Amino acid sequence: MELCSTIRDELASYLGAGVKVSARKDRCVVTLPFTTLDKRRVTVVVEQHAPNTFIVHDGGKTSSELFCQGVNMTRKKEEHQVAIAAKFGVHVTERLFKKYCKPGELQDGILAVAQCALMAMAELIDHKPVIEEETLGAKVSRVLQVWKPEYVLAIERNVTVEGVTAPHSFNFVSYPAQASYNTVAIKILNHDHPRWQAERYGFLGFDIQAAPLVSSWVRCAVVSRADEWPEASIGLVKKFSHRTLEVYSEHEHDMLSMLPATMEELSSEHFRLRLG
Amino acid sequence: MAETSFHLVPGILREEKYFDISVPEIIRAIESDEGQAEVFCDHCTVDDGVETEIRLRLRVGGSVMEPESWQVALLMHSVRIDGIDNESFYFDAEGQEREGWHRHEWNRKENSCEREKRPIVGLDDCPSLEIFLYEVFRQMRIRWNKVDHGTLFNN
Repeated sequence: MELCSTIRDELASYLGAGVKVSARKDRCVVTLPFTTLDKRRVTVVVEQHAPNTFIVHDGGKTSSELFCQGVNMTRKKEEHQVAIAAKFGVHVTERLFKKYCKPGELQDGILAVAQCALMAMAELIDHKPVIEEETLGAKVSRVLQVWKPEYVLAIERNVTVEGVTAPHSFNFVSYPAQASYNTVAIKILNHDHPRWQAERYGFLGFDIQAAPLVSSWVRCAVVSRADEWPEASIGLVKKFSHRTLEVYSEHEHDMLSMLPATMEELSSEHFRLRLG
Repeated sequence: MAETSFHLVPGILREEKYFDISVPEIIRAIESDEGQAEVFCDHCTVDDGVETEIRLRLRVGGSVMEPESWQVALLMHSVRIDGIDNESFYFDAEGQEREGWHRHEWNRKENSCEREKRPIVGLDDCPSLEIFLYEVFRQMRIRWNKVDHGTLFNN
Protein backbone atom coordinates (compact mmCIF):
# COMPACT_ATOMS: atom_id res chain seq x y z
CA MET A 1 0.00 0.00 0.00
CA GLU A 2 1.37 3.36 -1.06
CA LEU A 3 0.26 5.20 2.11
CA CYS A 4 2.21 2.78 4.29
CA SER A 5 5.42 3.22 2.36
CA THR A 6 4.97 7.01 2.35
CA ILE A 7 4.54 6.97 6.12
CA ARG A 8 7.57 4.71 6.46
CA ASP A 9 9.75 6.93 4.28
CA GLU A 10 8.66 10.17 5.90
CA LEU A 11 9.02 8.77 9.40
CA ALA A 12 12.49 7.41 8.60
CA SER A 13 13.44 10.78 7.20
CA TYR A 14 11.98 12.60 10.26
CA LEU A 15 13.79 10.34 12.70
CA GLY A 16 17.00 10.59 10.68
CA ALA A 17 16.84 14.37 10.66
CA GLY A 18 16.24 14.40 14.41
CA VAL A 19 19.30 12.33 15.21
CA LYS A 20 22.37 14.40 15.91
CA VAL A 21 25.76 12.98 16.75
CA SER A 22 28.59 15.19 17.89
CA ALA A 23 32.12 14.41 19.02
CA ARG A 24 33.19 15.46 22.50
CA LYS A 25 36.77 14.50 23.29
CA ASP A 26 36.93 10.71 22.88
CA ARG A 27 33.20 10.10 22.89
CA CYS A 28 30.12 10.57 20.76
CA VAL A 29 27.08 12.40 22.07
CA VAL A 30 23.89 11.19 20.40
CA THR A 31 20.80 13.38 20.53
CA LEU A 32 17.60 11.58 19.60
CA PRO A 33 14.29 13.03 18.40
CA PHE A 34 12.51 11.82 21.53
CA THR A 35 11.33 14.40 24.03
CA THR A 36 11.31 13.94 27.79
CA LEU A 37 8.43 15.15 29.95
CA ASP A 38 10.35 18.34 30.67
CA LYS A 39 10.65 18.99 26.93
CA ARG A 40 14.29 18.02 26.53
CA ARG A 41 15.70 15.95 23.71
CA VAL A 42 17.10 12.77 25.17
CA THR A 43 20.87 12.48 24.92
CA VAL A 44 23.04 9.37 25.09
CA VAL A 45 26.83 9.12 25.30
CA VAL A 46 28.79 6.41 23.48
CA GLU A 47 32.34 5.59 24.55
CA GLN A 48 34.70 2.92 23.30
CA HIS A 49 35.48 0.73 26.30
CA ALA A 50 37.67 -1.92 24.61
CA PRO A 51 38.45 -2.70 20.95
CA ASN A 52 35.14 -4.51 20.53
CA THR A 53 33.07 -3.06 23.32
CA PHE A 54 31.25 0.23 23.81
CA ILE A 55 29.69 1.77 26.87
CA VAL A 56 26.44 3.55 26.24
CA HIS A 57 25.17 5.77 29.06
CA ASP A 58 23.12 8.88 29.76
CA GLY A 59 26.04 10.82 31.28
CA GLY A 60 24.18 11.12 34.59
CA LYS A 61 21.91 13.72 33.01
CA THR A 62 18.64 12.03 33.97
CA SER A 63 19.45 11.77 37.66
CA SER A 64 20.91 15.26 37.67
CA GLU A 65 17.80 16.74 36.00
CA LEU A 66 15.40 15.07 38.44
CA PHE A 67 17.47 16.26 41.38
CA CYS A 68 17.77 19.82 40.10
CA GLN A 69 14.06 20.02 39.30
CA GLY A 70 13.30 19.27 42.94
CA VAL A 71 12.40 15.59 42.80
CA ASN A 72 13.43 13.66 45.89
CA MET A 73 14.33 10.13 44.93
CA THR A 74 13.27 7.64 47.57
CA ARG A 75 14.69 4.12 47.75
CA LYS A 76 11.41 2.83 46.30
CA LYS A 77 11.61 5.18 43.34
CA GLU A 78 15.22 4.19 42.71
CA GLU A 79 14.34 0.50 42.85
CA HIS A 80 11.56 1.17 40.36
CA GLN A 81 14.05 2.78 37.98
CA VAL A 82 16.48 -0.11 38.38
CA ALA A 83 13.68 -2.59 37.61
CA ILE A 84 12.65 -0.70 34.47
CA ALA A 85 16.26 -0.45 33.30
CA ALA A 86 16.78 -4.17 33.85
CA LYS A 87 13.90 -4.89 31.45
CA PHE A 88 15.94 -3.13 28.76
CA GLY A 89 19.18 -4.82 29.79
CA VAL A 90 20.49 -1.57 31.23
CA HIS A 91 22.30 -1.20 34.58
CA VAL A 92 22.06 1.72 36.95
CA THR A 93 25.43 2.44 38.49
CA GLU A 94 26.53 5.64 40.15
CA ARG A 95 23.37 7.39 38.91
CA LEU A 96 24.13 6.49 35.29
CA PHE A 97 21.96 4.40 33.02
CA LYS A 98 24.64 2.24 31.45
CA LYS A 99 24.87 -0.62 28.95
CA TYR A 100 27.87 -2.45 27.52
CA CYS A 101 27.48 -3.25 23.82
CA LYS A 102 29.28 -5.09 21.05
CA PRO A 103 29.48 -3.17 17.75
CA GLY A 104 26.45 -4.98 16.34
CA GLU A 105 24.38 -4.17 19.43
CA LEU A 106 25.13 -0.47 19.52
CA GLN A 107 21.84 0.76 18.01
CA ASP A 108 19.78 -1.34 20.41
CA GLY A 109 21.95 -0.16 23.28
CA ILE A 110 21.47 3.52 22.40
CA LEU A 111 17.70 3.11 22.18
CA ALA A 112 17.56 1.08 25.40
CA VAL A 113 19.43 3.73 27.41
CA ALA A 114 17.30 6.45 25.80
CA GLN A 115 14.11 4.63 26.78
CA CYS A 116 15.31 4.36 30.38
CA ALA A 117 16.12 8.07 30.46
CA LEU A 118 12.70 8.92 29.02
CA MET A 119 10.80 6.71 31.45
CA ALA A 120 12.75 7.90 34.47
CA MET A 121 11.62 11.46 33.85
CA ALA A 122 8.03 10.33 34.49
CA GLU A 123 8.79 11.18 38.14
CA LEU A 124 8.05 14.78 37.17
CA ILE A 125 4.36 14.00 36.69
CA ASP A 126 3.72 13.83 40.43
CA HIS A 127 6.07 16.64 41.33
CA LYS A 128 4.25 19.56 42.93
CA PRO A 129 5.42 22.65 44.86
CA VAL A 130 5.95 21.92 48.53
CA ILE A 131 5.09 24.76 50.86
CA GLU A 132 7.50 24.60 53.77
CA GLU A 133 6.38 25.74 57.17
CA GLU A 134 7.63 29.07 58.46
CA THR A 135 11.38 29.01 59.11
CA LEU A 136 12.69 28.67 62.65
CA GLY A 137 14.52 31.97 62.14
CA ALA A 138 11.24 33.80 61.48
CA LYS A 139 9.69 32.27 64.60
CA VAL A 140 12.70 33.15 66.77
CA SER A 141 12.62 36.68 65.39
CA ARG A 142 8.99 37.11 66.45
CA VAL A 143 9.67 35.77 69.95
CA LEU A 144 12.65 38.11 70.36
CA GLN A 145 10.70 41.17 69.25
CA VAL A 146 7.96 40.43 71.78
CA TRP A 147 10.54 39.75 74.51
CA LYS A 148 12.77 42.81 73.93
CA PRO A 149 13.03 44.44 77.39
CA GLU A 150 14.06 48.03 78.11
CA TYR A 151 17.64 47.10 78.91
CA VAL A 152 18.09 45.85 75.34
CA LEU A 153 19.08 48.60 72.96
CA ALA A 154 18.58 46.66 69.74
CA ILE A 155 18.25 43.18 68.36
CA GLU A 156 20.01 42.94 65.02
CA ARG A 157 19.60 40.22 62.48
CA ASN A 158 22.28 38.50 60.37
CA VAL A 159 25.28 40.02 62.08
CA THR A 160 28.70 39.30 60.61
CA VAL A 161 31.65 39.35 62.97
CA GLU A 162 35.37 39.01 62.34
CA GLY A 163 37.05 35.97 63.81
CA VAL A 164 40.81 35.62 63.99
CA THR A 165 41.00 33.85 60.63
CA ALA A 166 37.57 34.24 58.98
CA PRO A 167 34.29 36.15 59.17
CA HIS A 168 31.33 34.46 60.88
CA SER A 169 27.66 35.23 61.13
CA PHE A 170 25.03 35.08 63.84
CA ASN A 171 21.32 35.07 63.11
CA PHE A 172 20.55 37.51 65.92
CA VAL A 173 22.54 39.65 68.30
CA SER A 174 20.93 41.36 71.29
CA TYR A 175 22.87 44.49 72.28
CA PRO A 176 22.27 45.83 75.80
CA ALA A 177 21.61 49.51 76.54
CA GLN A 178 23.70 49.29 79.71
CA ALA A 179 27.20 47.89 80.06
CA SER A 180 26.17 45.75 83.05
CA TYR A 181 24.15 43.46 80.77
CA ASN A 182 25.57 40.93 78.31
CA THR A 183 25.49 40.98 74.55
CA VAL A 184 23.85 37.74 73.45
CA ALA A 185 24.47 36.20 70.03
CA ILE A 186 22.13 33.55 68.67
CA LYS A 187 23.07 31.06 66.00
CA ILE A 188 20.37 28.87 64.47
CA LEU A 189 21.68 25.53 63.29
CA ASN A 190 19.49 23.85 60.71
CA HIS A 191 18.98 20.13 60.44
CA ASP A 192 20.57 19.56 57.06
CA HIS A 193 24.03 18.00 57.31
CA PRO A 194 24.20 18.20 61.15
CA ARG A 195 27.85 17.23 61.22
CA TRP A 196 28.79 20.01 58.84
CA GLN A 197 26.71 22.47 60.82
CA ALA A 198 28.35 21.37 64.07
CA GLU A 199 31.85 21.60 62.61
CA ARG A 200 31.18 25.06 61.26
CA TYR A 201 29.80 26.15 64.59
CA GLY A 202 32.78 24.62 66.34
CA PHE A 203 35.11 26.56 64.08
CA LEU A 204 33.16 29.75 64.77
CA GLY A 205 33.51 29.20 68.52
CA PHE A 206 37.17 28.35 68.19
CA ASP A 207 37.95 31.23 65.85
CA ILE A 208 36.32 33.99 67.90
CA GLN A 209 37.83 32.93 71.22
CA ALA A 210 40.67 35.37 70.72
CA ALA A 211 38.72 37.94 68.70
CA PRO A 212 38.41 41.29 70.44
CA LEU A 213 34.96 42.18 71.74
CA VAL A 214 33.10 39.24 70.16
CA SER A 215 34.79 36.78 72.51
CA SER A 216 32.96 38.42 75.41
CA TRP A 217 29.53 37.84 73.86
CA VAL A 218 27.32 35.12 75.26
CA ARG A 219 26.63 32.51 72.60
CA CYS A 220 23.35 30.66 72.34
CA ALA A 221 22.89 27.92 69.75
CA VAL A 222 19.37 27.00 68.65
CA VAL A 223 19.40 23.53 67.12
CA SER A 224 16.56 22.93 64.67
CA ARG A 225 15.00 19.45 64.66
CA ALA A 226 17.42 18.29 67.31
CA ASP A 227 15.84 14.83 67.17
CA GLU A 228 17.47 14.37 63.75
CA TRP A 229 20.97 15.27 64.99
CA PRO A 230 23.56 12.69 66.01
CA GLU A 231 24.60 12.95 69.63
CA ALA A 232 28.23 13.67 68.72
CA SER A 233 27.23 16.69 66.64
CA ILE A 234 25.02 18.09 69.41
CA GLY A 235 27.93 17.49 71.80
CA LEU A 236 30.25 19.56 69.62
CA VAL A 237 27.74 22.42 69.51
CA LYS A 238 27.34 22.35 73.29
CA LYS A 239 31.09 22.46 73.75
CA PHE A 240 31.24 25.82 71.99
CA SER A 241 28.01 27.34 73.37
CA HIS A 242 27.16 29.04 76.60
CA ARG A 243 23.64 27.71 76.11
CA THR A 244 22.17 25.28 73.60
CA LEU A 245 18.44 25.13 72.91
CA GLU A 246 17.58 21.80 71.35
CA VAL A 247 14.35 22.31 69.44
CA TYR A 248 12.58 18.99 68.91
CA SER A 249 10.15 18.76 65.98
CA GLU A 250 7.11 17.93 68.11
CA HIS A 251 7.90 20.37 70.90
CA GLU A 252 8.98 23.40 68.89
CA HIS A 253 6.33 25.67 70.41
CA ASP A 254 7.29 24.68 73.98
CA MET A 255 10.98 25.20 73.27
CA LEU A 256 10.41 28.62 71.73
CA SER A 257 8.28 29.68 74.69
CA MET A 258 11.38 29.11 76.85
CA LEU A 259 13.46 31.51 74.75
CA PRO A 260 12.50 34.74 76.59
CA ALA A 261 13.50 33.26 79.96
CA THR A 262 16.74 31.98 78.44
CA MET A 263 17.51 35.41 76.96
CA GLU A 264 16.72 36.99 80.31
CA GLU A 265 19.20 34.70 82.03
CA LEU A 266 21.95 35.04 79.39
CA SER A 267 21.66 38.83 79.29
CA SER A 268 21.94 39.15 83.04
CA GLU A 269 25.19 40.40 84.55
CA HIS A 270 25.05 37.39 86.89
CA PHE A 271 25.42 34.94 84.03
CA ARG A 272 28.94 33.63 83.97
CA LEU A 273 30.66 32.94 80.67
CA ARG A 274 31.22 29.24 80.86
CA LEU A 275 31.14 27.03 77.80
CA GLY A 276 29.12 23.81 77.54
CA MET B 1 -4.09 25.73 52.06
CA ALA B 2 -0.84 27.65 52.49
CA GLU B 3 0.13 29.96 49.66
CA THR B 4 3.34 29.89 47.69
CA SER B 5 5.82 32.76 47.78
CA PHE B 6 6.62 32.63 44.07
CA HIS B 7 5.76 36.35 43.71
CA LEU B 8 9.05 37.00 45.53
CA VAL B 9 11.17 35.16 42.97
CA PRO B 10 12.15 38.13 40.73
CA GLY B 11 13.42 40.03 43.76
CA ILE B 12 15.25 37.02 45.16
CA LEU B 13 16.99 36.43 41.84
CA ARG B 14 18.32 39.99 41.93
CA GLU B 15 19.55 39.61 45.51
CA GLU B 16 22.68 37.86 46.72
CA LYS B 17 21.96 34.49 48.30
CA TYR B 18 24.39 33.14 50.89
CA PHE B 19 24.85 29.41 51.46
CA ASP B 20 26.96 28.26 54.36
CA ILE B 21 28.97 25.72 52.39
CA SER B 22 32.32 25.88 50.67
CA VAL B 23 32.92 24.85 47.08
CA PRO B 24 35.32 22.02 48.08
CA GLU B 25 32.60 20.66 50.39
CA ILE B 26 30.14 20.61 47.49
CA ILE B 27 32.65 18.76 45.36
CA ARG B 28 33.33 16.22 48.10
CA ALA B 29 29.57 15.60 48.40
CA ILE B 30 29.31 14.97 44.67
CA GLU B 31 32.32 12.65 44.77
CA SER B 32 30.80 10.72 47.68
CA ASP B 33 28.28 7.87 47.41
CA GLU B 34 25.54 10.50 47.60
CA GLY B 35 26.69 11.86 44.26
CA GLN B 36 24.96 15.20 44.67
CA ALA B 37 24.97 18.17 46.97
CA GLU B 38 22.09 19.97 48.61
CA VAL B 39 22.20 22.77 51.09
CA PHE B 40 19.55 25.22 52.14
CA CYS B 41 19.48 28.73 53.52
CA ASP B 42 16.84 30.90 55.10
CA HIS B 43 17.11 33.90 52.83
CA CYS B 44 16.00 37.29 54.13
CA THR B 45 14.02 39.33 51.66
CA VAL B 46 11.25 41.92 51.67
CA ASP B 47 7.61 41.15 50.93
CA ASP B 48 5.44 44.22 50.48
CA GLY B 49 7.70 46.26 52.75
CA VAL B 50 7.91 43.61 55.47
CA GLU B 51 11.09 41.66 56.11
CA THR B 52 10.54 37.97 55.63
CA GLU B 53 12.53 34.76 55.49
CA ILE B 54 12.26 32.25 52.65
CA ARG B 55 13.85 28.83 52.58
CA LEU B 56 15.94 28.33 49.45
CA ARG B 57 17.71 25.15 48.39
CA LEU B 58 20.83 24.92 46.34
CA ARG B 59 21.24 21.68 44.46
CA VAL B 60 24.30 20.68 42.51
CA GLY B 61 24.12 17.52 40.47
CA GLY B 62 26.04 15.62 37.87
CA SER B 63 28.96 13.31 37.62
CA VAL B 64 32.40 14.84 38.33
CA MET B 65 33.83 13.16 35.23
CA GLU B 66 30.96 14.20 32.93
CA PRO B 67 31.07 18.00 32.48
CA GLU B 68 27.91 17.98 30.35
CA SER B 69 25.97 16.57 33.30
CA TRP B 70 27.02 19.32 35.72
CA GLN B 71 24.18 21.49 36.78
CA VAL B 72 23.20 23.91 39.48
CA ALA B 73 19.69 24.78 40.58
CA LEU B 74 18.17 27.18 43.05
CA LEU B 75 14.87 25.93 44.40
CA MET B 76 11.98 27.39 46.33
CA HIS B 77 9.10 25.18 47.49
CA SER B 78 10.98 22.30 45.80
CA VAL B 79 10.59 24.02 42.43
CA ARG B 80 13.56 25.23 40.41
CA ILE B 81 13.49 29.02 40.22
CA ASP B 82 16.91 29.48 38.63
CA GLY B 83 19.51 27.16 37.22
CA ILE B 84 22.27 26.49 34.76
CA ASP B 85 22.89 23.32 32.79
CA ASN B 86 23.95 21.91 29.45
CA GLU B 87 21.94 20.32 26.64
CA SER B 88 23.16 19.18 23.29
CA PHE B 89 19.90 20.40 21.74
CA TYR B 90 17.28 22.82 22.99
CA PHE B 91 15.11 25.71 21.88
CA ASP B 92 15.84 29.08 23.45
CA ALA B 93 13.16 31.56 24.54
CA GLU B 94 12.88 32.85 20.94
CA GLY B 95 12.35 29.36 19.58
CA GLN B 96 15.79 29.11 18.04
CA GLU B 97 17.69 25.82 18.05
CA ARG B 98 20.68 25.91 20.39
CA GLU B 99 23.17 23.68 22.09
CA GLY B 100 25.35 24.00 25.16
CA TRP B 101 25.18 25.87 28.42
CA HIS B 102 22.08 27.87 29.23
CA ARG B 103 20.28 29.50 32.11
CA HIS B 104 16.68 28.77 33.05
CA GLU B 105 14.71 31.98 33.23
CA TRP B 106 11.83 32.46 35.60
CA ASN B 107 8.42 32.96 34.01
CA ARG B 108 6.11 34.83 36.37
CA LYS B 109 2.91 33.71 34.67
CA GLU B 110 3.81 30.03 34.68
CA ASN B 111 5.65 30.08 38.02
CA SER B 112 8.29 27.99 36.35
CA CYS B 113 11.67 28.31 34.74
CA GLU B 114 11.53 25.07 32.77
CA ARG B 115 10.53 26.51 29.41
CA GLU B 116 12.60 29.64 28.89
CA LYS B 117 16.27 28.97 28.39
CA ARG B 118 18.87 31.62 27.60
CA PRO B 119 22.30 30.65 26.23
CA ILE B 120 25.25 31.67 28.38
CA VAL B 121 28.92 31.90 27.66
CA GLY B 122 32.03 31.28 29.70
CA LEU B 123 31.38 27.69 30.72
CA ASP B 124 32.72 25.77 27.74
CA ASP B 125 35.87 23.85 28.45
CA CYS B 126 35.81 24.51 32.19
CA PRO B 127 38.88 22.62 33.38
CA SER B 128 37.24 21.47 36.59
CA LEU B 129 33.96 21.30 38.45
CA GLU B 130 35.40 23.75 40.97
CA ILE B 131 35.96 26.48 38.36
CA PHE B 132 32.57 25.72 36.85
CA LEU B 133 30.91 26.29 40.22
CA TYR B 134 32.71 29.56 40.89
CA GLU B 135 31.52 30.91 37.53
CA VAL B 136 27.96 29.64 37.90
CA PHE B 137 27.63 31.03 41.42
CA ARG B 138 28.85 34.39 40.19
CA GLN B 139 26.20 34.44 37.47
CA MET B 140 23.43 33.28 39.80
CA ARG B 141 24.44 35.75 42.54
CA ILE B 142 25.15 32.97 45.00
CA ARG B 143 27.71 33.52 47.74
CA TRP B 144 29.36 30.67 49.57
CA ASN B 145 31.50 30.13 52.65
CA LYS B 146 35.11 30.63 51.69
CA VAL B 147 36.32 28.53 54.62
CA ASP B 148 36.47 24.81 53.95
CA HIS B 149 35.50 23.18 57.26
CA GLY B 150 35.42 19.67 55.83
CA THR B 151 37.85 17.77 57.99
CA LEU B 152 38.43 20.20 60.80
CA PHE B 153 37.05 18.06 63.61
CA ASN B 154 37.48 14.56 62.24
CA ASN B 155 37.85 12.13 65.15
